[in-house]
Amino acid sequence: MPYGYWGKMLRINLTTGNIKEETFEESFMRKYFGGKGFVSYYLLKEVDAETDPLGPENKLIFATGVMTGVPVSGMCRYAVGGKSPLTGGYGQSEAGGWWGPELKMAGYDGIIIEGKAEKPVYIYIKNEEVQIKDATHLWGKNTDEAQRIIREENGDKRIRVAQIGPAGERQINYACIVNELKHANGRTGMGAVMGSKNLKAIAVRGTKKLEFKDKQKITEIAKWFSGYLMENPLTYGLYNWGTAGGVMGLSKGGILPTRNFKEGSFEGAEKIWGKTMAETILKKREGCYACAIRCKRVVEVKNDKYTVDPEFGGPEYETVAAFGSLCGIDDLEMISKANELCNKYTLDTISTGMVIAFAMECFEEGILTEEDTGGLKLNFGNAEAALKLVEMIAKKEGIGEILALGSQRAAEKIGKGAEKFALTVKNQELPMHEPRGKVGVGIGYAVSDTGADHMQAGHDSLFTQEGEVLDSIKPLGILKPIDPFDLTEKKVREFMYLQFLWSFYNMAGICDFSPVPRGSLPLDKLVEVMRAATGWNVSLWEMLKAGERGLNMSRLFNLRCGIDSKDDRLPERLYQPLEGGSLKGVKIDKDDFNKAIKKYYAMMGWDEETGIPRKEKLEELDIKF
Amino acid sequence: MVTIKISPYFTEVKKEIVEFELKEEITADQLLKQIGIKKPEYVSVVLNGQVVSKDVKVKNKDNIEIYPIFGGG
Repeated sequence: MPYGYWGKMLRINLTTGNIKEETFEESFMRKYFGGKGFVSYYLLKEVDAETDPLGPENKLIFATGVMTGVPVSGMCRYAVGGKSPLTGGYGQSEAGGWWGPELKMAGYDGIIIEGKAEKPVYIYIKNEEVQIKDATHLWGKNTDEAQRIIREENGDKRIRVAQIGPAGERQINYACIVNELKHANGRTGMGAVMGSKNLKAIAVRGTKKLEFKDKQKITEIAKWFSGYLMENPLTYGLYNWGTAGGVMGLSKGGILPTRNFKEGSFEGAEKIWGKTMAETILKKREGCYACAIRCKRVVEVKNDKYTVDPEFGGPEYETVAAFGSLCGIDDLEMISKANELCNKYTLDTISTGMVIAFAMECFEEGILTEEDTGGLKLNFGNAEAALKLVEMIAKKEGIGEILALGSQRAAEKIGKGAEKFALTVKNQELPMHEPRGKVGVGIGYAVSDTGADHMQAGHDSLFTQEGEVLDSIKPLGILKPIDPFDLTEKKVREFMYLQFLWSFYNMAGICDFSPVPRGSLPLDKLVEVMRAATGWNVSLWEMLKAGERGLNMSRLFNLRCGIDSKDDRLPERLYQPLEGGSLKGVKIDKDDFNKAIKKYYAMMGWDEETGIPRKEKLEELDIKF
Repeated sequence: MVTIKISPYFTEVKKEIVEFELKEEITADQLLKQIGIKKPEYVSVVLNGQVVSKDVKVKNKDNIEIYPIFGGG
């Protein structure tokens, strides 16, 4: 019998209404580990180059990992994937919360959604009872109301709901999927794919017992780790101040994206960082399933200007920076309101903030005028205008209709030189990390399978000196500190090894805030937990090889979609000097960067020019598609 | 007098601002140990507004701020 998973996927065709179960062997799980591994497997097997991301032929895959639901901090995540309407290639995004473990407890490792329902529907899974239910009455409703109705009409308050709001229904290219109103599969527009299938929600209630090989060992490690993590600044800092606790350090270091990445330090940083949040609007700290780190914030605002409902959680670092420093806004209450609206409508906060910052720069440069914006004065720092834009984007009203396309496509429509202010890779907007001060993050942005993504590998700033953090990754063969500006083979090697690890985390359903190097669970303990959960004699080597396999598979899917080495590039702005902040004048050398990308291809076993995986590399990883 | 502003991450130091007279120039790393920071490798040192390496010497009248290194997410 399998431990930690069921060996069972649900396949639901919304065109025909057909629901069936598919089983898989242990060797399949041990090769792909779930999550990203499953998404890339099913996309390669079932989705072709011509598939319209918003057409019925596209698949939408919800996949837990082998570790999702193991009661240890950080083992809660699941991936959603499909062909992306934003990038036109490999789409995938992970979320924490409770939905992934709930699906596991219902008896399934994942769901493959096919086709398109004739009218709006939602899927209700109660253990192995699976129904497609009418959602006509839910269509057009915000997430809070839809969740309340789904729970009421099925008579169970503990139903976990992953769903889309109006932005997903309108198929906005960067619409996300939200579970529990506050945990988002944010990136690559998976909410739009869900909307294109007329699928409002997947509501799950699971009460089955998931078996583990050595429950006692898991309990022992979970207990030890819940104490140990409070001794490590990287994890207890997350508890105390949340992910936004990093804002001040980043601003002082000159790497806080400010005013559309023109600058790297923000004069209003102190007003929006995690400490200020804790001292003002923070109502409570929350965690995901079985997690003692509790990095999530719940905020509440009630005043004449704004009300922010704590049901929608609170803004993460990415959201604080995207609506804050990036737009020149130092109002934490407004940022929290923007976060609430994005969770209500299901808009990705990173892309939404970036699109607004793009529009602000276009406005300041005279490319957009008040005539275009419907009278909005879109200068950097205008909090009211930014909030209004969130509404206009979600409703595709006025300028919002163009901005809903994403900044790259919007820039092409606007013209007049707007393209240089659209900061994207493979059409996806940059996240809130400044590659000019940590160039390994730039390599990650460029080569990422999903377009610009900050979760490809650990960031350079963690590994610049001797100490516990560097020690934690020495088992990977990264033995010496590396300068954050270094673009030599040392950086490429470090990035690649860490990318294998991160890729594996995204396969197995593990949050990177739990294990090292971003968290504090040592790698040998992680291996122990995996062995205790699955009963396999799994090794770190095997985990890294699986991570590498996942990266090669998503690469192959992108190549199938025509996304190749020409797309592994950074926006031009990052090759220009920072205009302000403590790293003013610093830029990335384009030649050095391009050489690093070629070196990465070669180290990966890919053709140095085309970036296509070599036949022998695919044979080594046993990839046959 | 050297002034050190301490991020609340570093709970081992109970004060937000520490001030004292340096008898001689010392490195930032030595200073961190002197004020009771347990794990200096997690600290980013800002000296007079600029992030500096921990082997940089600090002296009286310097303004120092310390923040956690931050690795994204």
